[in-house]
Amino acid sequence: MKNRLRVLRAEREWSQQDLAQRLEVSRQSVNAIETGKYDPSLPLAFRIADLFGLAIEDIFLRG
Amino acid sequence: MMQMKPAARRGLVRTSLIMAVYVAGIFAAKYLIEDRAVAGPLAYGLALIPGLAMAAMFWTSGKMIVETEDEFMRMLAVRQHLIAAGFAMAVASVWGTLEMFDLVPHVGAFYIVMLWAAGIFVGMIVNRITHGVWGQCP
Repeated sequence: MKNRLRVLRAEREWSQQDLAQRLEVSRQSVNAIETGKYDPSLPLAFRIADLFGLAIEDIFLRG
Repeated sequence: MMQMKPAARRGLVRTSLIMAVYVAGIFAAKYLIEDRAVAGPLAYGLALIPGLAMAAMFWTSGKMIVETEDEFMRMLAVRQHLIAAGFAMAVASVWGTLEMFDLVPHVGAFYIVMLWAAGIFVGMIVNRITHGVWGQCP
């Protein structure tokens, strides 16, 4: 699944480690999600959406 | 110094304790059964100690997966264990059929554990190739 995580993170000038700490996950998790190697669970997707103040579908794209 | 995650730290403590029991059990069983000719129920009890310690290794391995809070790392650990189980069963099945027709020497069932442990490392390599991360070593 494609997502805009890398762009949203870059807009805030956060490193992967910064985002990982805010989400309470590993840096590897952030990297895997950004590169599309791993799709997060619904609870984690909601945490990501809440952190950026967006809806899940504004971050994770269909197709 | 690299900080260990709580689940990994607990796993390491459990593994160390289990391995200590395993090693002590092996030496005790070898000495008492082979050298001191202990027999009967006591011999069974002694021989069960290292076997049950190995069984506990599987328990602690599963426990570590359950306790891993990071869902991505947990997913990698599950993949790793599935690969390890598949690897051990596949090799044991092939060897078993060859052994049935006396084409290879007999190997004790205990060695399936060794195959499983090797499979854990195979799983780590697969994780590294497919997801760019080694995952955890139980």
